[in-house]
Order: sequence, then C-alpha cells, then structure tokens
Amino acid sequence: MMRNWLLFWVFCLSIPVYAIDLPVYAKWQSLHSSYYDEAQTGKELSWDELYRAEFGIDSFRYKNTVFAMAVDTQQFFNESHLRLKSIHIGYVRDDWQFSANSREHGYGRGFGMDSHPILSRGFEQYHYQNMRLNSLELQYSKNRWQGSLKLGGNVHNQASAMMSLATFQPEDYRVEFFQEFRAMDNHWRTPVLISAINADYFPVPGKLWLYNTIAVSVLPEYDSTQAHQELYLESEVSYQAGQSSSISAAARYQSKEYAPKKLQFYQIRYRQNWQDFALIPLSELTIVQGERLWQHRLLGRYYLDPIKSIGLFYEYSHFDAQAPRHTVGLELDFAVDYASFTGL
Amino acid sequence: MLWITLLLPGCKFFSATQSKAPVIVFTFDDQHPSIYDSAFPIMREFGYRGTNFVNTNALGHPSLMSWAQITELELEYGWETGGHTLNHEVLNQLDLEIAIANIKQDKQNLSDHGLNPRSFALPRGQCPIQLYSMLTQLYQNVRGSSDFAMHHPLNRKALGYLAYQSGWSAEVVKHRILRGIANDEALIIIGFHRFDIDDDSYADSCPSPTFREILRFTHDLGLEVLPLAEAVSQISGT
Repeated sequence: MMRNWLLFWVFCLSIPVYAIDLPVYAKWQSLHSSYYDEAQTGKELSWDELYRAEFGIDSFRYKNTVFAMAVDTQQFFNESHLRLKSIHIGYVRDDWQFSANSREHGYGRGFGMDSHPILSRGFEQYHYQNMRLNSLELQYSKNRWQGSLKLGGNVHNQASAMMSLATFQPEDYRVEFFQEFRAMDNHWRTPVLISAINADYFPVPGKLWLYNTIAVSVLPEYDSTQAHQELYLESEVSYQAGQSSSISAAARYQSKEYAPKKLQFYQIRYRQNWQDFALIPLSELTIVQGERLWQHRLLGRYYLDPIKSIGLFYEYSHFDAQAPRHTVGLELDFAVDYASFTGL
Repeated sequence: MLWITLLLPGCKFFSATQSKAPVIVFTFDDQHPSIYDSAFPIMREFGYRGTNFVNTNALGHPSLMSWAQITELELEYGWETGGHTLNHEVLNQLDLEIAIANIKQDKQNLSDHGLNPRSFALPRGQCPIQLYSMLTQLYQNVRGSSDFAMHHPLNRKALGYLAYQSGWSAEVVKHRILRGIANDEALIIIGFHRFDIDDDSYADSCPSPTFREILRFTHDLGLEVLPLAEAVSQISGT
C-alpha cells in the first residue's frame, strides 16, 4: 500500500518536468569469460558472466535547481536488485550551491583501463575507503577555485565530515585537497582521519596527461585497535603518440594493517586504432604478500559508434612459479544518451 | 520520467558499501568421515568453523558421518549444516515434482535434528531454472560448482566455489586466494570432500598436511574465516 502511494506521488510530481528535455542515458556492460587453469588439474573450464545495467539523468539544471541521478543493477539473473547509484538535488544561488546527495565516496578512482576489461570491483567505484555517503553539501565556486563542506554518513555508523578545496584550469590542471573525519573506518571499528590529494595535470594538452592520488589514513588507538597509519597511492601517465595510438603506464601502492598488508600494482598498455577498430595489448604485475601475479592481455575492440563497442580478449596469467591460466572473453559496452535520442 | 517513477520504489536506497579483505569459507561436501576425523581437528587448531553440505539419507551409513557428528559440529562448535539433497541426486535428472519433494524432505530432515539449514549446495552445480524460486524460498544461499569472482553485493542465489582436487599442492589454493585479494573479491569459497584417502579412484582427497598449510596461510594473512551463511550475511550487511 505504502509503495503504491509512493508510486502515485512520485508520478504526480514528475508530471511538471515531462515537458522538459531531460539528458537521460542508459548503459549496458557485460563480460562473458571462460578460463582454463593449468595448475587446477582435474577441473573443467570455468565460465563466468558479469553484467551491469545503468540508467540515469546526467546533471540537469532547471532555474535554480540542479538534479542528477543514476540507478543500476548487476549480476542478479533471478531476482530484481536495483540500486540507487547516485542522486544529487541542489539549489544554486550565485556562487553557492546547497545540495542533498547520496553516492559512493572514496579515494583512488582507478585507471583508464582497470584490471578487468570493463567491469571491476563489483559495484565499488573507489579502490580505497569506499563508502556510501548520504550527505548535505555546501559548495562555493569562484573563478578557478571550488570549496565544499559535506556532512553525512550511512547506516553502518560511518558518520563523516569532509572539507575539500579544488583549484583548476580547464584543459590544464585540476588539483583537489580532501580532509575527512569518519566516525568508523571501513575495516577497523574505530574513528579515522583521512587526508588526500587528487591531481590531474595536462602538461601538453591533448598529448600528455598525468594523474595522481595520495591518501593517508590516521587511526588512533581505540578499544583493541592499535594506533597506526595507512597509505594509498595511485598514478597514471598517458601519452597520445599520434592520431591513432597512445601508450599509458599506471601504478598503485597500498599499505595497511590487514590482508593484504602491502599491495603493489603496475600496468602498461598500448592502444592502436584503425578506423572503428582498436587493438590494446596490456601487461599487469600485481605483488600481493610478496607473491607476483603476471597478467598479459590482448584486447580487440570494434566500435559500432563512439559509445557502442564489442570486444574480444585473450589473457595469459600466472604466478611466478605456477602453471598459467588462459582466459578468453567477450565484452559488450553499449550506451544510449541524450544525443542518441535527439540527434544533437 | 515514467520508467524512473516506476523503478525508484524498488531501489535499494542508501545502502552502505564496505571495502574489506575477502572473507574465506571452507565447505565440506558429502559427509565423508574424514571430515570429522581429520579436517575438524585442524579447523579447531586455527579456531575456524566450516560448513557441511550433507545428504541426509546417507547420514548414519557405516562408511559416512553420523547424525551425532553433524549435530555436534553445528550445535557445539558453531559449524553450519546445509542441504545437498537426500542422496546427492543431480536435480536436472529428476522429474520436477520429485526434485521439489527431495529438497523439501532433505531440509525437513535437518530441521528435525534441531539444525538450522540456511544454505544449499547444488549437486554437481546443476539445477533446472524452474526449481530456483522454490529453492531460494527455502534457503538463503545457494552454492553452485563453478569458480568465479564474487564481489559485493553478492548474489546469494548463485555462489561459486573452488573444489580441491587430488594431487593439488597448497599453492594452488593459496594462489586462488591471492588472486581474490588482488581482484578485490568479497567472498572466496574453497570446497573439500574427503581427506587422507590413498586411493587414486578418488579425485578429491586432500592430505591433512596440505589442508593445514592452507589454513595456516589464511591464518597468517589474518583473513576472516566463517561458515557460509555468516559470511554472506556479514558481507551483505544483513
């Protein structure tokens, strides 16, 4: 009954915006893969499927109100499991914006091409201290500066207060500082103070791009938890060699007091385009607990249009002294957006 | 706007997400007595609890575990006991009505012995799609037989696992766990069937020293080891 009333009122409230052109979009990503592990003798081929469907409204402004939202689902073939990925409702006055938000929040957004071809980390958007943050935000923007204050948390007692300050020059650089206090760390049941810097830098616009994140967590002694610090680093450099080729290198380092205590990740990749086709060889090295996992992948991707592609890959991976694993996969990355509908 | 309007009430709003090391689950299928005689003492050494998937009509057979051993593990030592059909029938080889009756009776047998079955393992990982709705009404968690990455949020109705095979060194399982850590997986299930059987006709016997080495590895890494239902509930925040 309650649900029906909610449906009714949301429907009624939505009528006034029917007449407005909304920047809606929808995405479908899927990965079908199969592996054969030579070390796992006696096992058959393992088959895996991942998919993620998302639809939403890109940032949309009507008079003084700003609105954006996204809903997604993933990997549930026999039941409905929709998730509100993000919502942002803001009120803008001059240089100030006051908004209500629900979204994932964390540090380390990952690389241009992450560990998996198109799907990774399940739903989580950030590699480090990822949490759901339902917050009130006050933002001030002036010229090349932007500051914000967020207060919020989630139902896991993760109350959070965060200040951030960003300075940017479009197509040149963006540097953002974060200072956050959380009532409860993601792993330890203890308060945590997180300081972080995100930096994107384009020394040669359109040619060379640098990205770096550093995050430090300070955890005080609390109950049975010893006082300690954690460090997270993530860097990527990408160079556009010509109109049709680029090369990128990326690295990640994480140090903490629970498994894996130290994790290092390195990636190098090359991309060569021929009209609608791209060929991407990629090598990765993950060092976890002193063991080295090598992954080498060759991905071919055909673009039906700029936001619709079909990819095929082969991956050869192994630990140092271990027989290899062979993986083949098919990936789909399809999207429609406002421009697709309107021809704009 | 209409589709947004219709779908919003079904959304899971404001749910928390957690970044943690993967939780490890050790499952033991098919009630071989070596699970009680060999694996259980080693699990106790490390303070771990596991999940038994049993065929209730087979329990008490002279060459298999007894009801007393199964109930002791759950009621005294906090292990979990899950359903696995009456006699390890492969579900898609049964008539639908017979399969339904089998699963219900299997669960009833467990409940009649004071157990609390919350998870089910599909024999050979096979299940006709028509059975899923009934199966998932009876059980919170369903484990198949394929090994794949499981991230948060988990699909409780389609859990994968790596089944240990005879002849594997502990390194094979250790590397599976390390891949899971490198891959940010939320849950890794490692399955065993029997221990210390010196007979090549068994494809899934694990030597006790290998089992101990695997457990020491998870222990030294500080990974959390839980019975399946507890692990899934913890990861899912329920």
